[in-house]
Amino acid sequence: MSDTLEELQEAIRNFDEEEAEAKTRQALEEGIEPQEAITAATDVLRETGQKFENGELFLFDLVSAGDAMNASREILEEAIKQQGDERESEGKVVLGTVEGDIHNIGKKILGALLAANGYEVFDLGVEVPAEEFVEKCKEVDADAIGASALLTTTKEKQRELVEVFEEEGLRDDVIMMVGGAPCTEEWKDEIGADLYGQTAFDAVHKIQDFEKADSGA
Amino acid sequence: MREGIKGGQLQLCSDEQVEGIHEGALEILERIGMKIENERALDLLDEAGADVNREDEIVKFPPSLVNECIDEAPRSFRLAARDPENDFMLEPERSYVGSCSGPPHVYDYEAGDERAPTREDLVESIKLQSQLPNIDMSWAMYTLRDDPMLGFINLYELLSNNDKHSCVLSYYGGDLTEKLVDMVELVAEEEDVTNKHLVTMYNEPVSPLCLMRGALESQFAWTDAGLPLLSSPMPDMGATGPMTIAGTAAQGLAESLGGIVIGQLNNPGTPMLMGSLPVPMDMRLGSHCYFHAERMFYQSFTAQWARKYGMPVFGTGGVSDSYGADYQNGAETAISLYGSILAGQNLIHDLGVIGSGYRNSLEVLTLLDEMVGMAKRVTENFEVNDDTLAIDVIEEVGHGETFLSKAHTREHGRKELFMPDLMKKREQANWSFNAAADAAHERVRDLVESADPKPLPEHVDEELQSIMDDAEGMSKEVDMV
Repeated sequence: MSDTLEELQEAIRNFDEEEAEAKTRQALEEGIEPQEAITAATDVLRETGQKFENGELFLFDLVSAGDAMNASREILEEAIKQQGDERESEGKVVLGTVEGDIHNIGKKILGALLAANGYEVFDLGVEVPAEEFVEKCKEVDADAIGASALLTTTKEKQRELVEVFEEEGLRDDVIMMVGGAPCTEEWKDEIGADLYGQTAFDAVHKIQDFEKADSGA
Repeated sequence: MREGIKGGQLQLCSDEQVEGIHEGALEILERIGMKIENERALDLLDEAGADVNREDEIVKFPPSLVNECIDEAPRSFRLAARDPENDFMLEPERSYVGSCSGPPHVYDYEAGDERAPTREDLVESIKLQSQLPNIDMSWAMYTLRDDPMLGFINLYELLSNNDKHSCVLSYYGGDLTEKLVDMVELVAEEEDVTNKHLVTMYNEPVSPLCLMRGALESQFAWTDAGLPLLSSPMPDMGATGPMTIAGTAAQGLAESLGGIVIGQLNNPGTPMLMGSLPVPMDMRLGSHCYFHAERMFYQSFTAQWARKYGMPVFGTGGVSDSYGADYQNGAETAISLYGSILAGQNLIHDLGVIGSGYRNSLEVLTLLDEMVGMAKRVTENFEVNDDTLAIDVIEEVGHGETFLSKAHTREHGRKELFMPDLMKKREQANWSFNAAADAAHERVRDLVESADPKPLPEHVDEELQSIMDDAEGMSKEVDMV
């Protein structure tokens, strides 16, 4: 691996967004393939995820490393797109908190954990209308979505989301996952979603298992 | 009148620490301000001289305004109950205890597992609290999570099944909260009560530094009527608050004061409680820690702040992150209960809330009722005089003999020591791993079955039902908080 890529990895390990961004640009200038750079960056995040699972690192380490990784990833994905290629990953997941709900933290933790497990994550933020989920899923050809709701009333929006995906003919192509304090396994079944994650860890494991079962079938 | 417990013996923070955090809170409010999503609140703050940015809804509070509003808020007030014998005075250094609403699961003791709550569970929980001798106020202990009428059901069942003071969470915006106020005022008018402060509402700023539209509407509706309201956030250390105790204490105080300033500007002198319930994020699981060793600092800080600045403070105790009545649960509930009482927090809630807020347990609450009895005994302290020093008796008994047969022993033997009934001393043969919790479970069944709440007059009940029918029609249109 080139020195620059090793420095990029070190920057992510040190949670240094600015340095990660600078080393990413430097790598591209040196003619390193963006896919190679993204693999190098993802490797560090995976290592961070493992250290987190072992209890060596804490959640704030994981989220900070994820932010540094994102700084690099955005540049590299753009470069891959310009080459007319697609990034290789475990899968593409679109995340968002449903319309009317501003709760962000659980989703942010899930995003960091998914990225640490090699997924490509597109976080639409909070108060995301169903149409925006649809648009992004079409744009990036997503494999899964995760819709978060923290309030008894806003979780109804998860039901609407499933309905909108049906109407758009996307339902069978996208794994639909719901989460947040008022959600339960029964709620997931009632609205016809695929997965319910009680915690961020639970969600990651379920999405991995679901994909395995899916590809096995 | 309920006498509560004399707390405030334990001061972990120095005056400099209390002052430093207070100054920090004022600086946060002045430099960073709060996001306030409510036109009426923005108008009030604008008029009072705050720096109001209408576009991004950020309000910066001059320290003088905050201090004036703290002075305006009453230092003590009387909370009422349907049975005036159960009224109590919120005042410095007196503590009153109760459970809380919120947990979405019942801890089913016999099954050793959790389940979704029903309306019957709510009623049972209220009947139990009205029967437990050391519990001062009642809450509907679970969240009926799929019922948009939950706030109304909670209040209705509290007013119908409980002769103590009631507390409710704020679930709705303004229109529906006005209906809740109508229910409280109706019962206050029709029943022979001391004042209309029958129900306190718990309103929560969202950390960091936000007062949301619906919560403010509900605060206005409640305080317009002069009903008691507590403004208390739950910053997650490291997630929605800084990672340090001082920083989270200052931010939490600032958030609480934001609500109090608006309440006092709207209705000067309206009864309010300050409070802050910081919960660190567990950095391995991403969950709330209801119990953590440092909770005692927050308990002490808020109580010391409240005494210094003259406001009653909302407290938290008797909580655990364990999911059942195990060792961890016993230790965490006991430490957090004693921390809150000895600190001198005034309205202490969350007794019986376990599993980091996922479950509420009637058995744990009942064990804590006994622990409160012990705390009462300890805070009453002991007397030193000729009779209690008992030098004459010691002399009479002399060396190597016994006090068992002395009149002095019989005179003091029933009152000097607290006699636990659930966590009692058992002969080894009668001991089992769950003996105390099993006894608590039996006590719960007995108390719930023997509860005999005074029914509301029929016409009052009918009117309450009719208010709820109106609200049900409206609830389909109105956002909840």
